[in-house]
Amino acid sequence: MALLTIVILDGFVFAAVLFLSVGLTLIFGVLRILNISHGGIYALGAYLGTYLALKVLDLGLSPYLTYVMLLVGAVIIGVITGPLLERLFLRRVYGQAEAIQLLLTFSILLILDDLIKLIWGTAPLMVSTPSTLLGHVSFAGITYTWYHFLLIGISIVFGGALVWLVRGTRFGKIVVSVINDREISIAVGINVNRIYTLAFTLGALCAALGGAAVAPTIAVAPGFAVEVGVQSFAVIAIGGMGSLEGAALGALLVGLVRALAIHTFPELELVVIYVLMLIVLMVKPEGLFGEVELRRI
Amino acid sequence: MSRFQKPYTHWWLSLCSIGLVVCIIYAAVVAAQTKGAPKELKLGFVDFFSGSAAIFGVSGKNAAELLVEKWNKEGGIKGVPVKMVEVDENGGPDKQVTEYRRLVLDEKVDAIVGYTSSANCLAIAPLAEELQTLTVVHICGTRRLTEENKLKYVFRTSNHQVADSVMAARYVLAVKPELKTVAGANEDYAWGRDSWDDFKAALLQLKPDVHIVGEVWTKIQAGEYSAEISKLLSLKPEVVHSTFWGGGLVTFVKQAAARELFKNSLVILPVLEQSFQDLKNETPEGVIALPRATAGYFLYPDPQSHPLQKEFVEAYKARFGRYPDYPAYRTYQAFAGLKAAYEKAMDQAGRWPKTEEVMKAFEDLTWQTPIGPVTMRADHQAVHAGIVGLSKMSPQFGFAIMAQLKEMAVDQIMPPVGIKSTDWLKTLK
Repeated sequence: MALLTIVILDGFVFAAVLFLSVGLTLIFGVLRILNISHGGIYALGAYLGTYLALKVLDLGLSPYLTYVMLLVGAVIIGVITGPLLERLFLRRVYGQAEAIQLLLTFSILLILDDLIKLIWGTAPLMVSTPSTLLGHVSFAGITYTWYHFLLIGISIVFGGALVWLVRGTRFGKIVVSVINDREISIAVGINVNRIYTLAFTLGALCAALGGAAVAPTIAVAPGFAVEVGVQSFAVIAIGGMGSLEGAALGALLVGLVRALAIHTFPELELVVIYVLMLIVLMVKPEGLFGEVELRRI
Repeated sequence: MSRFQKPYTHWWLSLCSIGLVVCIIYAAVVAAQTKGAPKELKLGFVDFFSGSAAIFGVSGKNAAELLVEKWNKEGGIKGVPVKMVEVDENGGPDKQVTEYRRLVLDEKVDAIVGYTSSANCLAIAPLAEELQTLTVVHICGTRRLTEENKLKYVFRTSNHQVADSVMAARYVLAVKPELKTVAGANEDYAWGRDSWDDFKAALLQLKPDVHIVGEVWTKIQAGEYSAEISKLLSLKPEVVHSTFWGGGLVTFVKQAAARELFKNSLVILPVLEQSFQDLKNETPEGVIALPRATAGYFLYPDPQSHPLQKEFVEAYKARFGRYPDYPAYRTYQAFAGLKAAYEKAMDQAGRWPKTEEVMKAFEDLTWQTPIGPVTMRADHQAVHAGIVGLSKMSPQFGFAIMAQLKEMAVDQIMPPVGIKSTDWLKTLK
């Protein structure tokens, strides 16, 4: 029973970390672009958030302001990189071969990685105050920080807000219509280019917020987002490309399976995620919540 | 009066004699400098300048640039200036093989220094032999490089990873003689696997009743260790051994400290010294810390009584704003060793040496570094002492330093020439 409790808690914590990079699925859902540079924006959000939080501490201000600074850093990164990348680069490759899109977004990832090194150098940047400020708690004899539970809470709110935005607002309905039929959307007067920019910015904002939320629990160092980026792809492949519910379920499955492996067969920790992905893709190639795409002739 | 006046009548003769002697000495020095000497000595330097391992590579690059600039200001190696061509080690062994060929065939370097990754140094070693290029490996830790290859052109200028594991085992038993339970948390690739296997072998040889209660394996630089830390907390081992490094290590320490792992277990981190300055005041007290099996760090030996150490530490800190860490010292070892080999070969040959003469001079060479002497053995594996201690916060520096420091001699931590580590570990006492 104790083991089960620990596995569930660890699974939820990891699922929260993965789900916070869910903006990836949103961008794919709207723009049909597999955005490899998502990890770069995630890292930039973490870097700027951490940097601002450290500044607050250096100035001797209230440590609670570090939470505000993490949020501010993420928002700045999201609203700057989103429109900039979409208008300058991505707009040119809509509808083009996937290989070109992948190469372009991979190039952007490398550029962002170098940009980070130019600004902050190669030494890790870290701020623990937001994570330690809330204290810790014991479950089944194992210590967890309250920040872990805050992360789980943030990811639930995050997911809920995105679902509401896409399903419950006028903006969401317009986005859905653009996804389903670009030409008809243009015909009825929707400014499709603007929707694309807004959707990409929203995705970038999600990425930056995800990075900033996770930053207090890690060392923000060059290349740190690569691993989360790879696992995020596994999550959206399991859940179904473009599906928010799928991403949530995918993250939870990956988190639980990985935690179970670590506690029972640690040698299998790395392989279980991809075995899970393989099984799902064999049974349902479009992912658990993915829809079979019709090819237009 | 006349007694003192006499020499002055031939003053011009004395002046001519002195002038002649000066000319002869100058001509001899110039002849020695230029005899067969190239316009410049071109060295390739390969280390990580991008990706997660750049934390190591940039330290090495800083040390290399500092040294080469200093030498060139002093007139180069025996009058020949050194030019460095830098190559990023990121991108995997296949890319490094291509880059190695480019350095030798296109850049026409005289020698190559570098390689932090074990995978990369193993990949380029056969190529170095094929292209007959002097290659000095500075950090790469795998014991396989010198134990499973017969090397002619490749030299490694620092202890291999077995020394880290043996030092950790010896020190933990000195701190905790009644040790019973141990767990490991390592990255699932050659470095993590070999280090953990060697640590276990050394520990069980020195104290056979120790029980290994569990292991966790993470992906390289995973960045998220919540579940692994839960497992380590639930196992309740007296000691945890982890060879995490760089950003991954800093994240692990941060996450584990927040969840009180360091209060429940004595943790051994053989690469921790490199992260002291990044962790600032967040390094827990009393962690067994090493700069891997390196002979010193920026405070040992004491810079005040060791001029070479003082000069290096002060120059490095003044220029880069950080104290040199172990990748910086190991890079220094590599460059200083190569320079000493060139100088020895030149002294022996009486002219600028051929590569083969430098290689011959390198074998059995002992050279000085800021943290003590390093000796190259006949198997092209260098050996030197190593230090280990417990982390202790220093208000003076604002980050942790090493307390209860112990220096271990070469014969305590490295297998002798010709004996494989796995066999040697079975004979540890």
